[in-house]
Amino acid sequence: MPPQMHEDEGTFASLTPQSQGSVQSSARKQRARAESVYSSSSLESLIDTCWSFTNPEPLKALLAQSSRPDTKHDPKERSLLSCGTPILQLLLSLCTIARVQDKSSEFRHIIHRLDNLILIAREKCYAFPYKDVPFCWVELFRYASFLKASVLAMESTWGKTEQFLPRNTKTKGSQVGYPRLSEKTMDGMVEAIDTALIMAGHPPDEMARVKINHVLENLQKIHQRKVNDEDIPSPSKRPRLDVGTSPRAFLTPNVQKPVSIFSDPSIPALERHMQHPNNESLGPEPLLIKDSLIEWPALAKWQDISYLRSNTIGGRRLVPVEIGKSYVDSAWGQSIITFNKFLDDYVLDSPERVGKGMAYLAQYDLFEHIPALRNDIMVPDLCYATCSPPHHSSPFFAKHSALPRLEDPMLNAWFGPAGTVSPMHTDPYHNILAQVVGRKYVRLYAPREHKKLYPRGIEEGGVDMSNTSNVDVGLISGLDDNVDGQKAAIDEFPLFKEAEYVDVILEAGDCLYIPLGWWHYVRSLSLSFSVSFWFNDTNDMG
Amino acid sequence: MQLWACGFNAWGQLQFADNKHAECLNSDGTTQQPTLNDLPKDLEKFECVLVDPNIEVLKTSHSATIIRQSSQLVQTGSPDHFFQYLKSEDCQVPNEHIAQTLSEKVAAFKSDTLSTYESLDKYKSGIPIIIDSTAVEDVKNVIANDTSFYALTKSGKVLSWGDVRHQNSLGREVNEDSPADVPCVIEDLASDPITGIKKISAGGYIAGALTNENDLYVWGGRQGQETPLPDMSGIPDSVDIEGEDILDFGVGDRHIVVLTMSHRLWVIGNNSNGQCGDGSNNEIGAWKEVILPLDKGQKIVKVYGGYKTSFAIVDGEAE
Repeated sequence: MPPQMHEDEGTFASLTPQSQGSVQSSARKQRARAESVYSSSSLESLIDTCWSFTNPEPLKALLAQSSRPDTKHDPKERSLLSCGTPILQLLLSLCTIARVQDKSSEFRHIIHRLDNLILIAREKCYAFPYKDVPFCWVELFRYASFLKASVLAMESTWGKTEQFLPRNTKTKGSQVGYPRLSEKTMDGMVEAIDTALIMAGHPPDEMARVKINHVLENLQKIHQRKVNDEDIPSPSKRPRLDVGTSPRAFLTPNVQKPVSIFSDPSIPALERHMQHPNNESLGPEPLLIKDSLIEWPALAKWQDISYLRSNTIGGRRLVPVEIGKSYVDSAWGQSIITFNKFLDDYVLDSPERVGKGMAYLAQYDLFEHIPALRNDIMVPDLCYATCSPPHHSSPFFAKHSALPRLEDPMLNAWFGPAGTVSPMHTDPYHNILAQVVGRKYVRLYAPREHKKLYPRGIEEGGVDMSNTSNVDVGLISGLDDNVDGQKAAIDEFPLFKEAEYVDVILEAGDCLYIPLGWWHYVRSLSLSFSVSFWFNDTNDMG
Repeated sequence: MQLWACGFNAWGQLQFADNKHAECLNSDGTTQQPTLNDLPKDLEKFECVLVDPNIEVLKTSHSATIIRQSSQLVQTGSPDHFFQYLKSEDCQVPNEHIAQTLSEKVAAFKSDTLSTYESLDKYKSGIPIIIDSTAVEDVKNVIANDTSFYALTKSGKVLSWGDVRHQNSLGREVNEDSPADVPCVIEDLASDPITGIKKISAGGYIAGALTNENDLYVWGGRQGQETPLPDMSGIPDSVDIEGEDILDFGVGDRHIVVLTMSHRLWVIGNNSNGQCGDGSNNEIGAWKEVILPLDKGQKIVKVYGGYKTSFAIVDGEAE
């Protein structure tokens, strides 16, 4: 699905370059001027990086290689080479023109052609089965997108961008700073970069990774300066996320079989728990760790909506969200939208939200995407415990045993309004689920219960859904308040009521240890932000 | 005869030798690379790009066009590997009998069999995906879109095969007897009242077929992408434009161009690069007639669809 950009340009007419020599005496203006010097240094650094993306030399080298008749086209080759001569030639032309800048009409034309190339890359990615997409097309998606963002940054200086590069301003002693980036330009740059990062992934090349993070960090600084200069209005005054019980949360479940509390959590204690389970036929059981996130800055900061908006370049950053009741729902789909749109249309109680349905930022490594948020959390020590192997009663024993050991725990963010549901499923890792904002109900079933949970199988298009239950726990347990549906579900899945479970309501600050192979159903009871940490080392012993 | 064209022109694929923006032809028939400082622009309106007694558009790709011009093959734009091969002496089959999907699979009709190959290299080495190639009666034309192939036989049957993930493109049922990756007849196009198909065309995830009765059927679409006509599916459905018989048609990746029996040109679908030729880049949601500035006595006699391009052949004397 194409991203739907939040367009908020047009209201900020005063973003023209500051006129030279207009002396203002007010203290506020002096402060603003001092900060704009700082801000222009972020800008010049940004332009410098953007300029480097238009370097034609690597393309020239690839073209020379591509035109040699003996060049083999290996789809695994980790470069743009296999895109072929026409694409390389066009990219080279675009980069060359972006540096010469001798006609003003070329700016739009270059952007148009980069959009065409991004679309071709996208079509190529769809045409191949996911695992067979040749590297060159994924790389073209990124390359053309980063080039687009870079050229967008040059719009206001088209014809003379080169004069503003730090090396030139230093030698010529020019005092003229780079004109400010318009809101629209920043929107376009972030959209181009984030669409590529989400759809094509972060660049495997360390240099490109550093450069693109540098662009995003500078955009963040530039945005922050604009807010401080009050060039743009600060985000709507809504100091705290409202985590009160929402009417959309339906019924709050009664906890029937509470998860045991892990009173003195430590790595040795968790290892003992895994290696010497209370009940051998169950294996290690889930544990609730109360108030364990005291040291996380996220606990306070993420309740502050303006903090989240501000750290996403004014809510511009794009995030992938799941739209629909849950991922087993027929109307379910994925979309890439701005953080602002996600908050305003799906998370916050606002007029925009009415009738928009459910959206869930689920199972996404938001912390690689937005590194500033990574500083607000800490990987729990427990993730470094020596883990028990999959339990013998698990239908996935062989599959999970064969998984390679993770180098580091895998982080995922789970952020959404009240009423989001992760249907009953099981994951291939041990999990520490940290509840940062709001409340969540979790119900867990041991691996041995799997037959009573009616797992799905291989579904249309060859998708393996065997880790997901056919049972809609919300419906069958009466949480959805649908009496007829509940009766039908009980008739359809008669063994389900015999399955033993434990359950818990996680409050902000709690962590839940979910052992490998345990089935779990998760339902947010309020607006909720959680972080999961998947870990294993089950392959240590081979 | 005149060739009119519109749409995507990033590589100069719409620039032919006789055009007023003419470029020199290289000895191998390709045009020269566009100069670095003058990128070719898209044509948002149909323009006359070539005049010749005899013109036929054979194949288009993202970056090139192959036409037959007075029995000589001419290629414009910048050829990818496949188009380079088609133009080379190594290629022993006529252009009409070989096609490549966007996923770079190749299918060809050779020695009374239809064979599919994982890539162009595998085709060159003669190693098909399935050893038992499908024996078929004489095939007139093999074409491809992003993930599927289509073959038209001399008796007017259409076969389709390709990626099982995009079954709508196949226009037929997929089951054990007719798997997705084996050429099978599209039964809906072989049953009453259809007596046979005379032309096929495909692009993106869609395809179409023109019957001997001058009816046009279209099908296809990919989940998450809008189709040019609303309600397109995996079942071929007939197209109605003012109740007229259809003379010719072409399918682009997300647009369709149709010529009715009264020689009127109609377009629908994606128009991001001016491929509908109405002078805008606005998506066209309902059939729209495009009128070319022709002289009295001239009329459109054929149309073709390419990757974000459209072509029209104009015949008759300008007065």
